[in-house]
Amino acid sequence: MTAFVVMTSSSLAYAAGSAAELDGNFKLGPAIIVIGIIILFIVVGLLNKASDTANYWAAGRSISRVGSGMAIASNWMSAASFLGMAAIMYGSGYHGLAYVIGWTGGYVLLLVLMASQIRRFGKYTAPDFIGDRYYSSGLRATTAIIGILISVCYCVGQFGGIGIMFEWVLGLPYLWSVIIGSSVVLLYTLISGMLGVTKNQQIQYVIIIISFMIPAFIMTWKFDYFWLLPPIGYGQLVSDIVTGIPNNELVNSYGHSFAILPSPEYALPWDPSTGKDFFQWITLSFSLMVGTAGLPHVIQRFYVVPKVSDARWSVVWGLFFICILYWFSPLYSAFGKVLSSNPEVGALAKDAIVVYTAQLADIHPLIVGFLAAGAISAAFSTVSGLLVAGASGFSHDLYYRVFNPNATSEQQMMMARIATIVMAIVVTVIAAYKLALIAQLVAVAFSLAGCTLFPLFLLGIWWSGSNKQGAIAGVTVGISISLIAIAYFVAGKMGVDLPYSAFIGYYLNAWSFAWIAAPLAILANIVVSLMTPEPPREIKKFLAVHVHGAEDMG
Amino acid sequence: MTESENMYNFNFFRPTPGFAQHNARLIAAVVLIWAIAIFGFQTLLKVTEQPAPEAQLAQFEEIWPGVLANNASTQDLKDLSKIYLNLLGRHVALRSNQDFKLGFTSAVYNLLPSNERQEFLSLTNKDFGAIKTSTGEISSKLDLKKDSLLAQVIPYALVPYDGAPVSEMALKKIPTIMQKNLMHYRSALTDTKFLGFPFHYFYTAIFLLVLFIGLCLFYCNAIDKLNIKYDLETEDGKGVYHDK
Repeated sequence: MTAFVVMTSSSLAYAAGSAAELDGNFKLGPAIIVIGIIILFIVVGLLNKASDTANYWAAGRSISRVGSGMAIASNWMSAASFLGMAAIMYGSGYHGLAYVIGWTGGYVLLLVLMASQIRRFGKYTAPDFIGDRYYSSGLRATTAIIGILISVCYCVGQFGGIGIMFEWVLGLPYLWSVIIGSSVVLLYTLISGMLGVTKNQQIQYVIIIISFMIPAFIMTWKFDYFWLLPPIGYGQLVSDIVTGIPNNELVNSYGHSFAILPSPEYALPWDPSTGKDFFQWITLSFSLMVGTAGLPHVIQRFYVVPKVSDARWSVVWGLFFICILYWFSPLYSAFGKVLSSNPEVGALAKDAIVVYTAQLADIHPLIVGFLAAGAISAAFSTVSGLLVAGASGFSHDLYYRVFNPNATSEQQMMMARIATIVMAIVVTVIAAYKLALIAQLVAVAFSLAGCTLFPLFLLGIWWSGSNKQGAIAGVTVGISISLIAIAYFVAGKMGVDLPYSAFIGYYLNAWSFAWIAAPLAILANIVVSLMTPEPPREIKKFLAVHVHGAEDMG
Repeated sequence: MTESENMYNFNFFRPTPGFAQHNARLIAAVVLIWAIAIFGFQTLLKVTEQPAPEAQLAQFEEIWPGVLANNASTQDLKDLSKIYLNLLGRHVALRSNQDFKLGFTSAVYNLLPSNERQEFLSLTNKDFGAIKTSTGEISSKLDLKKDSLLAQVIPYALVPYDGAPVSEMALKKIPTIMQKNLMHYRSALTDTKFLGFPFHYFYTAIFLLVLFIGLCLFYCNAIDKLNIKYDLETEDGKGVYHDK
């Protein structure tokens, strides 16, 4: 038995191909790991098949705070976190840390401003909250549509990450990789529903974090850094990159010395050579933070916990589990910087730098394969959550609430499944164009959420005077600015030069336009609300008494 | 407006008495710490930074007028070549910049004795393999060790060359590229080390995440007590109105 295991693993390792082959040639060992993990997800999904709408939408409100926190972290840790952040830091140095801060700092806002308040409001979905708070079916429908658009934008980045990883593992062209990956995640999302996805996401978190940590420990040990705590150990490496590392006996998988010319631009803030500046760092981190607090699929997580206090504590646990990965992520870009510094390595696809770094570090191919599986797992877990959020937005908030209030559970379920399939097809088509890096594409979704939904939630919870007209004005401003920013971005990619494109491209950048759009949307909401009739008394009373604990005066 | 209607009018800055007031103060404290820790620090980083050009930038600015006037010395051309190699070695994107690489190729050509120039021109027009095997010869002309980090860049820094002077348009781009890549901005926050990190990097990549978790923990503990005190939640965390 022992001999069989040794022979099998040796064969797999050999079949996994040379560690120096960075390109997407077929790698049997990693392919088996990836396929095995995907089958595991599907089996777990099948075992948790949802039977009715309540289970599908809110997991029967039966998940514990730690479990919910783990699910939040798994849902959050997408291809953007797993692959994209290291990619940005590899290419732009300190600027990439704006993504780290943006995607964690927003949780503080989410906790103090939203979590328990929304839970107390007691609705299933974000559009439900908006529709009831602002007594407007039009706003409910609009929020549902925005939620779908956010899910689509977000998924585009994830499908891109799936495509890159399948390309690496299976040696398939990018487009086929995206199609296969999207088909698999669609399959288990359709049949398991939200209950299955939530429980599955806890398993996915464990796979994600272990796969990410193992190579980090190996690299810090192998290259003589403080390996007991890699997130601290790589600090010296960052300093070494700044001052340069001379030729030495440590080598990468190509046989090149673990050395690099002095490269201060890697660590210095907004270095001119990166093309990024202070304004871009601040606006990007701000946009990502307010976007975090406005994402419907994150907010929906609060409904799966049994108690209001669990909604708060699941944010804490979720943030803790997320930070574990985010502490490790810059390590990959730092090692990648040195390991790829020899010109013979050439220009690497930044979005795959996590995997390339592990390969260049000459880590065992099966561990690298497990890492790739972790990346795919990260993308899958997020995509499934996004598809559910988008599908629920269409089925529950548009179809049932607006178009067909007499729809049965079965009809809603059917609509949800159709919406899921349509969304997946649309996303696959867009992802095929590779418009930008994963993290940048995902940041578009955050900016969209930050300037449309975040102002609605913020003022809806914290100001009794925010009314329907003000909300419509705010959303209109947010959507208008979003359309301008995204239109200019797409036009630029298509080679079309619109007027003032340099100005718009800088101040209304596609991944950070919420820095101005969110405040303007809030301002519009306030101004118009003050000019129009107050909200109905019942709504103000419900908000004051049930959400904010005021005394019930009758 | 009746008193009860007034009670139901509130905003974050004018919360209803009791729980909402305490909650608002708690939130304000957390958000203030959060904002200062993130944006305050980055602003401090910005206002305290000073220009810190690499020594090679001053060297380039001293050499460049001679290059433009075609009277740069051999030593100056060697130093300039090393500056080119340094940047080409550090920046992958620059290795796609044909004008920049032409500058390097031209510098090497001009520092060679006239009887070696033709051979060099032929080399630049050969395939990559042939160029790579000649790295040792070129590196020795530049007073570089064959296996040094800069020497490794040479095969990737050369472009096919015919000996003609570099165009004015190409020459105009070089100082801008040098300025962009050799100028940095540093401060005490970037130059101080903490646990091996440049301090600013540790603060942003490690400490801020710890702070976020700490703020969340603090808030949850404080608000749990407030909710129980004001009968919004029971001791086991159930909401009085919503969790049956």
